[in-house]
Amino acid sequence: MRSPLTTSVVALVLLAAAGGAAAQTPPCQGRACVDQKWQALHQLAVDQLKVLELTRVTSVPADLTTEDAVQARNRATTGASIIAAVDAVEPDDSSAAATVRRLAGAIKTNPEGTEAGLVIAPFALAGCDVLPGLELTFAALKADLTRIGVSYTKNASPELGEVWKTPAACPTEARIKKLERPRNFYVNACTAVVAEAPETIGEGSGLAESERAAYGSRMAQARMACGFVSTADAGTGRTLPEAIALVRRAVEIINIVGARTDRVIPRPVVDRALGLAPEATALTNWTLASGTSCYEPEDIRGYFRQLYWRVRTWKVAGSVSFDLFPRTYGFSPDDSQLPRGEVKSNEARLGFSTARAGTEFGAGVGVGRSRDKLNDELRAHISPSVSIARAFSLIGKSPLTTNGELNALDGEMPPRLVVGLSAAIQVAVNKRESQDTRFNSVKIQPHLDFLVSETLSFRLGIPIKAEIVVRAKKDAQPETATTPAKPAVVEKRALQWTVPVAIVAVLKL
Amino acid sequence: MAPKKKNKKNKKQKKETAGPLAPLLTVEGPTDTLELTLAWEGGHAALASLTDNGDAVDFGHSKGAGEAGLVLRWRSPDAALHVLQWDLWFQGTRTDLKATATVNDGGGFENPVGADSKKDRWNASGTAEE
Repeated sequence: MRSPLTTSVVALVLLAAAGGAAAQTPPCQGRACVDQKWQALHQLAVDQLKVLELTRVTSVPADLTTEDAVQARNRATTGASIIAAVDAVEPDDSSAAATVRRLAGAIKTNPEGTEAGLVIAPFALAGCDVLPGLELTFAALKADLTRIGVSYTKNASPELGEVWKTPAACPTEARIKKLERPRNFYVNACTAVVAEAPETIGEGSGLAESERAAYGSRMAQARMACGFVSTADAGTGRTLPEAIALVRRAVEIINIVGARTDRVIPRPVVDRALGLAPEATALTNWTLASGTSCYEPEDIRGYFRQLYWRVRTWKVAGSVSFDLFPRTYGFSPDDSQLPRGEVKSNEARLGFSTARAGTEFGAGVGVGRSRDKLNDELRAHISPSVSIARAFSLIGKSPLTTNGELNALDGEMPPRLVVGLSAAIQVAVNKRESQDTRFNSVKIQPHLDFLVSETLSFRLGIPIKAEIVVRAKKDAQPETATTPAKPAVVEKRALQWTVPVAIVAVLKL
Repeated sequence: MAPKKKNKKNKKQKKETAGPLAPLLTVEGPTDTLELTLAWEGGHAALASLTDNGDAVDFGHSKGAGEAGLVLRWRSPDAALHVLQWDLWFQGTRTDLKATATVNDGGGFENPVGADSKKDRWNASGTAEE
């Protein structure tokens, strides 16, 4: 029978043993530890992906206040709401909008109303970001006239930072499956390399102290990442991306040390590390599939279109153009003055267009001077213009919008019908006495644009035009033997209206 | 050797950050302060996502968009390595894209991160350490 004293001593020994065990947990070793650590890392990664979707943000901007932080969380939580950027409709062909619409495209051929010509955006053509809206026009008009001009279009729409919304996070299921990718590498590297390699290298290896220190540091970090440590030290390698990177770096440094030393690291370990090198390289910078990894390039393009769809966009433009007579040399049958490149007309214009959610409005005004013939005087005019257009769904199966949000198809606008009206007038400032109206010209065009795709569109329009026509002055003619007397005819200038009997269809490719 | 001394100094500056932030956003325990600089040419771009060791970092639209670059600074749980992944979205093409990072004002990316040209997005990652 044991004495009370013996019992007390035994109890004390047991307590001491238990206390020692609590203070110094032996390092975990073997495959079971690696599997356990992998499970923990995997579970945390799954939680991270789910959090990313919900969204709990665990890393916070350094200067966030509490209020900012809550807003950041709310923003992330409601990230599914998408708003965004496009020209609402195909720009209008009225003269007001014509200048404004020149933003796109470095070169355009056949500017409006010309026989042949081109519009060049010189800086855009050179791939330079400076003055992308600057364009130069060179064109040949009827009757050998030449047009030269310069225009600048400024996109005054809200900047991206003002309209940007964080895109909705991708579904987590597919991203969770991708977490398995580094598993084999992790398990093999931990069990066959990290667990077997020496934790430190002695001076006898011939390596410099800094190299030995780097080895020791990487191995210690890798052992933690593999789960070969007590729980108290498990801060390093907390997350799967970090753990994979740490194990990868351990494999890399073992390969380096193995190549430069002889038997400092056991040969089988070096061989196994060498075998894992390609996979380690492939996993450089491996991390969890991002919350936007499911977005394809066309989704991104569509997202930007959506972003700007609901916000009001603006473009303003200014232009100056000259129409010049040709230079003519040689014989003049009636001794009249031959043209030497004089100005036939000039005009300075200012215009703007604004669009939001499929409705576009544009207006502009120009001032200039013009004449019909070389020996006429240049007469001033003002030419205001206006256009309005609204986009609608063209095909029922692919509506333009759903619940007010633009539907982008493969990053592009869906087929759409644009109903619009454009009008432009030219008013004489000092009209001729023979002209019975101040209007030099009137152009009105209601139109339907069928925008099937970005490269295929049709326009059905009714161009209603009015232009000044001249009844020439004629002197009175006395009666002769063969012709009766004719009274004098005074010169008269008046508008002549033209309305086509058929709708004009234009195919644009 | 000089950078190591700096890093040790920075290590001491790590602080507990629980408390002032909203519960869901609290970073408990020692933290690292990271700074990621993204630079590019060609126009505006916005950060669609940014993660640090798998954790989301959200800057919203005010600081997450820029015309030629972004400098993003945040705190995250202390780690030996920070695997940073970002997805920068833009319209068209951006050129001369470069990324640099610091951890506690020292160190940087294990390998240079950059690209001559990218279309629509720049989705890349890098491993940063002190």
